Amino acid sequence: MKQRMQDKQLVNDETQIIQRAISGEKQAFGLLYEKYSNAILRYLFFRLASHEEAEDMTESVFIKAWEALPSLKHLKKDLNFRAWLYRIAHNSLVDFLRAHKEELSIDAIGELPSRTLIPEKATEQIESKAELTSAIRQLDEISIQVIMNRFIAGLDHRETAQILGLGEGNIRVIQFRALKKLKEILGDTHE
Amino acid sequence: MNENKKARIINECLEAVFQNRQSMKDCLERYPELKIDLLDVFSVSHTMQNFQAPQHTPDQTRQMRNQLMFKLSDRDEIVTKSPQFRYKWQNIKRRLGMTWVIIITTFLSLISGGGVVYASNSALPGEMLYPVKTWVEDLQLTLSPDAIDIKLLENFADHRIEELAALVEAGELDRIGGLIKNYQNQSELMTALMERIEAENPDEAVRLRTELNNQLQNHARVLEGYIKKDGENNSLQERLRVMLQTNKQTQLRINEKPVNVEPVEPSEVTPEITETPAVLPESETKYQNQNQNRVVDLPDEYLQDGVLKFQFRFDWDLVGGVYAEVAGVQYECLVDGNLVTCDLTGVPVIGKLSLFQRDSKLLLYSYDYDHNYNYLWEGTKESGGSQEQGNPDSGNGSPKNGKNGMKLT
Repeated sequence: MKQRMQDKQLVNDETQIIQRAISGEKQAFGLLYEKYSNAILRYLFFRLASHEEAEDMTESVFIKAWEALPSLKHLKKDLNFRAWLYRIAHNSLVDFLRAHKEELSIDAIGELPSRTLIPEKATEQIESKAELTSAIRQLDEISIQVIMNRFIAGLDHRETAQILGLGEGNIRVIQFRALKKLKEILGDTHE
Repeated sequence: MNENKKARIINECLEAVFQNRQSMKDCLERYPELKIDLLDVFSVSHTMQNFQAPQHTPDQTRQMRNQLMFKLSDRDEIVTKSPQFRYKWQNIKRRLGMTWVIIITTFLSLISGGGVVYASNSALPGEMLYPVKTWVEDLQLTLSPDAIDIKLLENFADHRIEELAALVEAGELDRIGGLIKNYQNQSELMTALMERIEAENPDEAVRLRTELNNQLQNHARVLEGYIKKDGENNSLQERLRVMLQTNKQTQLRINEKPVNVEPVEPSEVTPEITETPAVLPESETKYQNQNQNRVVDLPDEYLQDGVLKFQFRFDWDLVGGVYAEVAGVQYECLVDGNLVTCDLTGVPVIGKLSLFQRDSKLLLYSYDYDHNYNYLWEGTKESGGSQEQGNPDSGNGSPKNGKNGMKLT
C-alpha cells in the first residue's frame, strides 16, 4: 500500500520513471505501461481486425520498448517518450500489415467483439469503426498514418512529424488534404 | 491563398478549438473565406476524435501489467553467463544430450527461418538482437567439447574486440560495460578450459596455448592502441585498461603449467615470514600457480604508525578497487598505479592472504603467510627507531618506525 502511494507520487515525474525503467527497474516500466497501454491499444485497434490482435500487439510493443529502453540513454534528454512509444507501435503495425496484407480485408475490420465492451455499446462501436476505417482505407498510407497519429493517438504535429520522419509543415498539409477527402467520402452523415 | 497557408490556418483553428482556447464560431468569424474548409475539417476530425475503442479498466490494466512483468527480460541477461553458470550447463549437457537444443534450434528456425540468429551476428551491446547473439554463443559453448570450446572462445573474444571497436568509433561508450563483463567471463572460461585440456591432453594444450597467445597479444595491441588514441577520455581509458588487465592476466594464466606436488603434513612446513612455503597442500596449489609473474617481488610487510601494512607491486597498472581477504574478512587496500597497499591490522598470525579486484572479484594474488609477531617486534628494535611497549602476540603493538615504515624482510 505504501509502495503504491509512493508510485503514485512518482507518476507525475515521468522523466524520473523513465530513468528508473532505463536502469532496469521493471516496476517503473509497469507505471509507464499503466499510463500508456490504453492509448496504444486504441491506436492499434483502429488498424487491426480484432481486439485480441490489438491486445497482443500492445503487449509486444511494450516488450520491444523495454528491450530498446537502454538505447534511450544515448539520446537527447528532451526525448518525447510518448512519441517514441508510438513510433514502436507504428513500426510494429507496418510490419504486421505488410506481413498480413493478403489476409486483411475490410470485412474483417468490423469483427470485434471485445470482451471489455459493454454489450449495448458493441454494435455502435462496430458500425463506427467499420464506417470510419472503410473511409480511411481509401486514403493513401501516409495520410492514414497522419490521421491516426493526430486523431486516434492524439499526438500533436511535432510528435507526428517525429514518428513519420516528416516536417511539421508537411504534416499539416497532409492532414488538411486527408480531412477534406474524408469529408467527401463520408458525406453529410458526419456533419 | 495557397494550400500551405490554408493548411496552417485551419490547423491552428483546429488546435485552438480542441484545446478550448477558442470556439468554432470565433474561428469562422476570423476566417470567413475558409468557412467551407473549416466546417468540413471540424466535422470529420470531431468524428475521428469520438471514435470509440475498447479500453481496459484500471483493474484489467494492472492485471495485464503484472502479466507483462513476467515477460520482461532482466537487463543483466545481455551479458554472457558467469563461468559458474556455464559449468552447471556443462554438467547437465552430458545428461540431456542434444534433445533440448534440437527443439530450441528447430523452433527458432521455424519462427524466423534462421534470420534472427543470422541477423544477431552483427548486433552490438545495447541492441535488441544482442541478447540473441550472446545466447547463441552460450549455446555453442554448451554443445561443443572442450577443445572446440577454446576455438569458440577465441572467436568470441575477437567478437568482443570488434564490438568494442565499433562502439568506440560510434562514441557509444555507455554500452561498453556489458561487453567488458562478457570479455572477462569468457577469459575466465578460457583459462579454466586450458587447465582442463592441459591435464587431459598436454600436447594439444601446447598447440592451443600458442594460438591463444598470438590472439591475446593481438587484442592487447588493439587495446593499447585505443588507450593511446583516446588519451583524454578518462572514462574510456579506465574501461580499456580493465579489458587490457583481463587480457594480460589471461595470458599469464594460460601460460602457467600445473605443478604436481605431493601434499605434506602442515607440521612439515617451516614458517617463514615473507617467503611462500615451499610445498602447499594440493588444494592451494592452484592459487600458488596463479601468482607467477603477477607480483614482481614478494610483498613488503611493515608497520607504519602502528598500522600493519602489506605492499604488493604488480607488473602492470591496476584499475579500480582492490581488497585483501584473510580468513573470510575483507581489508581495504589503496591502489596507486601498480602498487597496492593494504591495511591488515588485526589479521591472524597465520593465514592465507588473497587479493581480489573489487568489481570483478578476480583473484589477483594469493599466498600463505605466517607472522611471528616476536620477529616483528625484534625487527622494530633493529630499526633503531623509537620503541613502544605492547603485546607482540596481539599484533596491536605500535612500534614507531621511521617515515616509510619498517620492512620485516
